[in-house]
Amino acid sequence: MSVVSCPHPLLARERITDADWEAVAGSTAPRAKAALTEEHQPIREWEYLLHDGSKLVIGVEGDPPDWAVPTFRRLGELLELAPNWDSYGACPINPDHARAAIELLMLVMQDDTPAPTVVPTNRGGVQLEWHTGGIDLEIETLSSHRFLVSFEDSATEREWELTSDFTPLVECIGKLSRRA
Amino acid sequence: MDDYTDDPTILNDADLWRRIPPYHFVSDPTAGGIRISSAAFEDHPNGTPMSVLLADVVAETERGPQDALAGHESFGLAAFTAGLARSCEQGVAREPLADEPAHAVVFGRKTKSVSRKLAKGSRWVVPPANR
Amino acid sequence: MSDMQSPFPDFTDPPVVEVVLGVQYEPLPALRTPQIGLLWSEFREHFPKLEEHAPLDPMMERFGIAGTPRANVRFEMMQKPPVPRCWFLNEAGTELIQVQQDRFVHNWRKVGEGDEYPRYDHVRGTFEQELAIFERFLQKEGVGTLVPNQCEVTYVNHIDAGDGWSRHGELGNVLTLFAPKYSNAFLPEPEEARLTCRYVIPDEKGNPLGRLHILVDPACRRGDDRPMFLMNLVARGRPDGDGVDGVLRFLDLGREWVVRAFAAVTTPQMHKTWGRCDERC
Repeated sequence: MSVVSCPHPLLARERITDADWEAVAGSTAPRAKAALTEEHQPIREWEYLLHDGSKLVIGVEGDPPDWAVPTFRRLGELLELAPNWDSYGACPINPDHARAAIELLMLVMQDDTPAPTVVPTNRGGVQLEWHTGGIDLEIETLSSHRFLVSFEDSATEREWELTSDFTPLVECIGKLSRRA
Repeated sequence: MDDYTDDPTILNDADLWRRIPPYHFVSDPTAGGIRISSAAFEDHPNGTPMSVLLADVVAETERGPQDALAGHESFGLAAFTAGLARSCEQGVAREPLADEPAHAVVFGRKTKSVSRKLAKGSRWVVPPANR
Repeated sequence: MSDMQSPFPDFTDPPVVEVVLGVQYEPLPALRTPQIGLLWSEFREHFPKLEEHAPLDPMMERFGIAGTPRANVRFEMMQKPPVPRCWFLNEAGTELIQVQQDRFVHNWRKVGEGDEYPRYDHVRGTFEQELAIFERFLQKEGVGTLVPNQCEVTYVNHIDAGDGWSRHGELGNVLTLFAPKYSNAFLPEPEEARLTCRYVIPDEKGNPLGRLHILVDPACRRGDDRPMFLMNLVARGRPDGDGVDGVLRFLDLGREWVVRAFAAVTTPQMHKTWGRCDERC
């Protein structure tokens, strides 16, 4: 399962008529291979052993911002938690929720946003928290595509469910980055 | 949750203890070092209410905070008052168990706001070790 | 502002060769390969053929995000074979159902020259029935509950060279969106041209609900290498309400956007070729 931003909507050929046509030969290449920006990007990977014995690999390619690697590694560590990790019957973390958290962060974080604290929830989700600059921001994964966002500063206190419109969260992250 | 009734014999200033796993310690310089994540104050994943220990019942059975953490030495122990829980529209009810007479529940809808108020209003009884 | 009040475009001979209606839902971990095999038995009478394919990655239309991350992240579960995407095909190969852990899709396609597009109402009705069977199956087998999070309507059009155009550089004869009006006389006709654009589909309150993607690419027909344009219109977005009703509401809205947009971005000349017959002819 790759986390890719801005995918071409029809990259996955799920149409049965795809067999009826061929792309035109000699089509313009999307990238020029001699360009400097195509230099080889480093890849780093970490492996985690989940409680059910399956293995998870988290890899980062390119030049990630400072917050990314420690955050992704922390998510991987939390995925290794066994059931009842909180002594009150907590569920192990659902890999789909961890992936959702990574995807969310890649979409909304700025390079200079401080890294979140990542905590597990007892229902198998993860919660990303920032408490800095007079701001309390928490984002909890409710499912693979739904989040509960809670933002509080001296002037505002709001909570909302996030599905597809990231505008208010991007504003909150912007405030957080400026005040950190 | 409909089966529980708030118990007025649990006074508002009664301390309720909750074990906090190390995964719910959050670094916060403005809060004096380590604060507790709101994620530590949720109902059970199966829907039953949040478990706590009644500090006075623990004392009556001649036990202390370290007994509440037996087998969970890396955990911390947090306390909040029954009054705080009730101010968040929660109820507090005794639910003694065979192996834990001090067991009680905090019942009521645990919105994010409720969990955060409980986290903010809690104090350490046994703080995180070596931090 | 989108004009949804004008007469609905209608064509007697549209270039549509495939229509896809689909719903993406929260992953159902208990919907594994054996369960999909059991599900096939619910459809096997009309869909006797089975194929396995790699699962599709999840797709979500998101709003309010700018820029591209400068790193790619890979998140891969090892030692756990992925549950395949299974195709249930009818005997004629004109229809199929696609099922995976987080997606249920119905495709109609034109196979022979005599195959006529059965119209949206028929395809939609079929999809609704099949989705109901799927939901009942999930409940009966204890697999889980369908929680839709995205819906998709795709119209695939094959626009063959012939009336109105003969070379891939003549995209402007097909699309109103493409008109090579240069600032000087330096450049000749393009060797080929392609176009991608997207539009936000709002809900009743004006909030973003989904997107319409229009993609036009040059291609050649297999067999005779006849030039063609592949024109895909994809309306994708979140359900407009809860449950299956919310899915169907988005599909209906998405289809309206697809058809109205198709009429808007193609030229009157091509409309004549396709037999446009609504009030604005």
